[in-house]
Amino acid sequence: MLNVTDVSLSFGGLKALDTVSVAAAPGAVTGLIGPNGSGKSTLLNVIGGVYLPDLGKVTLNGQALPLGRPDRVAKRGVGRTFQVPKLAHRLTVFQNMLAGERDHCGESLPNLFFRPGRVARQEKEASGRASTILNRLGMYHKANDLAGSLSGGQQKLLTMGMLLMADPAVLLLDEPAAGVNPVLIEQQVAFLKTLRDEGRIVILIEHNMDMIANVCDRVYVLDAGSVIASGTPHEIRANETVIRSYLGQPANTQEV
Amino acid sequence: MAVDFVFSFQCPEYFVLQVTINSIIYASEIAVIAVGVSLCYSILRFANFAHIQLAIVGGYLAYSFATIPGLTLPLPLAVFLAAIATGLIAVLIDIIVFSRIRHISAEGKMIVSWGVALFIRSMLAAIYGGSAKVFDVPTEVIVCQGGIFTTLDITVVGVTLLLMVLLHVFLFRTRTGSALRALASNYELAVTRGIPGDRLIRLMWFLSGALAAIGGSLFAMQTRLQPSLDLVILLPVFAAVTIGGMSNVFGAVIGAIVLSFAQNFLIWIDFGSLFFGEPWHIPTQLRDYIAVLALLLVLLLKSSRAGGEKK
Amino acid sequence: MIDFAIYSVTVIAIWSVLALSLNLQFGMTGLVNFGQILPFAIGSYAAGIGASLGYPWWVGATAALIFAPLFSLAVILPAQRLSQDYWALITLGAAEIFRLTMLNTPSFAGGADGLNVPRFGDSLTALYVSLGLLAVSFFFAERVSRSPFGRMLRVLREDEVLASTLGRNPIRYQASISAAAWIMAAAAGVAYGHFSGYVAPTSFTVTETFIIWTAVILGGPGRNIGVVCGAIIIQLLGVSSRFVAQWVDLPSDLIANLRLASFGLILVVMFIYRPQGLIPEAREVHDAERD
Repeated sequence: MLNVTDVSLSFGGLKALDTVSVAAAPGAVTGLIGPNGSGKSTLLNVIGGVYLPDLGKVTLNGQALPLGRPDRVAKRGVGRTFQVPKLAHRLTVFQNMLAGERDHCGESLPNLFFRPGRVARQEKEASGRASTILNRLGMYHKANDLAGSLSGGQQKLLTMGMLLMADPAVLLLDEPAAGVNPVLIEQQVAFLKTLRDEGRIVILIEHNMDMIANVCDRVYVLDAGSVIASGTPHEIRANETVIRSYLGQPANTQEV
Repeated sequence: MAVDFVFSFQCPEYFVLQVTINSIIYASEIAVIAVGVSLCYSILRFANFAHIQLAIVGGYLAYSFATIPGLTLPLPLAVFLAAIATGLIAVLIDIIVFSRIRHISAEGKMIVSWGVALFIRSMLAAIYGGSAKVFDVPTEVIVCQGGIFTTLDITVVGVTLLLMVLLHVFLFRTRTGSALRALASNYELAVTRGIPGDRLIRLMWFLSGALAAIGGSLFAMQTRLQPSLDLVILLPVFAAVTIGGMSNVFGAVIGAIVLSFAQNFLIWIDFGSLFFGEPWHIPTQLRDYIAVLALLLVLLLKSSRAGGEKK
Repeated sequence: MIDFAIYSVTVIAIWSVLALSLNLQFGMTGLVNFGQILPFAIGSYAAGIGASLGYPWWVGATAALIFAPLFSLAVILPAQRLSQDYWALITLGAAEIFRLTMLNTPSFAGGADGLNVPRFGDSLTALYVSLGLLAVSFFFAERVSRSPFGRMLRVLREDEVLASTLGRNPIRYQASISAAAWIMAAAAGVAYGHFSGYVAPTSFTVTETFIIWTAVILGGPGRNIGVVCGAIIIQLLGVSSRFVAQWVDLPSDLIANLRLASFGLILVVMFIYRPQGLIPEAREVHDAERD
């Protein structure tokens, strides 16, 4: 269980998050929706350890996450993707995948020279897994392409793949479907459902309401840094406040 | 480098006065050069190390205009022409080099600026030779209320004050100036609002080149002109700019003042008597240490404040 | 002539080690070290000071290999979480401070006159030591470059935030690669001290740092064999300028300045027209057969 409790964060005079509380259960997909600038990405950045909140805390299975330290949060099994995919553009797809490997013994200088056998073994094992995941994502044929040469949608898939290399308990996904072609979206929806069924905690920011309705078990609506509603996708669609503040302008918000 | 000679015979309050005078003079020399670095950083977002060489180019040009047989212009006119010429050189460098690499990373631009600096420095040394040139400035020593300074010092401080006021008026009172400031605060936005980015960048280069030339000439008049003068100017200027917050033009002026006072007072204070009972001063050669330490201190503060947040 | 060839190859080998060291920092990791000459100076001065205090050569060498990584940590730790502009300023400042310290402590480091260092027994020893050092450095750099560690260094170079969301603490990687790279450069410094027989502050200015940078940018940042080629070209330009000076009968310091100007030009031109260098970074190809 991932619990965000009363998190507040201001940038300068601007309140980006105002006593936000969110609970995300394992084996379920939790959606975050809201207009641009409502604080969704900021919230994901707080959970992921990129921003240190002014107030409040985030716990994973009852234990507080070391906020403000993205590397330590990641080590606790929290993986995240970004709205604009972050990749090592000048490395190949396969090398990017391998960079997702957790606790690689080959990332220590002494091991490289004194325990080359162990390093080679873990590298081989990681390569095997990277191949499997790339196959699962339908990207194996791109393994030796430079990550920077992929299309936007493929880059998003690749960042998902990198996350899976670390087998995270929590997945924070920032608009995985934005700018992705419909075929890939379907693939992603199927993929998200598998991840959910594996018992992971999935938190998803998405503007595509069909995708939200399709995969989310619970949805939180943010507006101007506060949670204004939460419930099942069905309840949210019926909620007056939400319709007024957000769903009322489908033309602007249904980005695909 | 200001006046280092007068500490021996006066009473303490005169020392303070004298050290203050020295600090103001040195701060002026640094400030004129430092504002150009800030100006460039505020708009193009990279630390331009070639700026120091522009200052030296300005110094050499002023020297040439004032001494080449048949030309021998009066010094103020020579410096003025040198400023214009150096401004044009800066614009030329932008056209040939920096305008082609607008899209690359800040590190890349910084490295390129070193390439430019290396080129200019070596060409200056090739043309003028490595030996020192001395400006023939008629100067008188003035003793006033126990403080000692020269007429040249007054000129240095006066010119700096005038330039800073002009720069301030330009940036804050004119349309072009506020367009420049708009570019500095958000380049993309300013350009989409119809501000001619490229033309203003050229103007920025001209201004910073011209200021560098005047600063370099003043610096050279106080000491001497040599290609290796760049190493003397480099650290204090970048320390001043860092203290001032890199992209804040008048922050750089404050930085120059803070740094100069810190340097002069730390060297003046008799730490020996304070702590060990025997007179001991920080040797004057260690001026640059103070610059680097100030730089480190500011960076440490920045680093701890950056803790965990944004990127 | 053969003496001159031995001399040239020795110089080239030493500068190649410096280029490899900078490549580990900048080419692979993206650390902008504008004080690359500092570990080299530490090495040379450790050799010189050790000798002036009457110790055998290995004392100075050991001191160099201990102090260089400590200095690298002292320089890199304050700069963590700051952008590369500041890292550049700090390294530049540190190198200048070291040079000024040596300049201003005549009793300890010889001041402007410098120190004498015992020379290698003969020029062939110098050659073998330098080539041996180059071989070891190259092996090390290649091993790092093709390893998971090198891969994460490149990820850091591309995007530090990405590395930290993958659970890596950037500073751990940056600090260990700098320490290793500085040890390499310090070893080159020790060899240089014993090779030239003399250390003085004038050998370790900002200009020297930029000669190393020119080699790296010319050869191909991120590619070990590339930066070695870069160092070879740059140093060949350097040693050949003596002949040029004799042939065209121009003063040697004029030639030296024109040579430096050409380095500056190379740096700028490469960045504009061929930023990947003469021999670009190779992409690590995954061989499906190996799975």
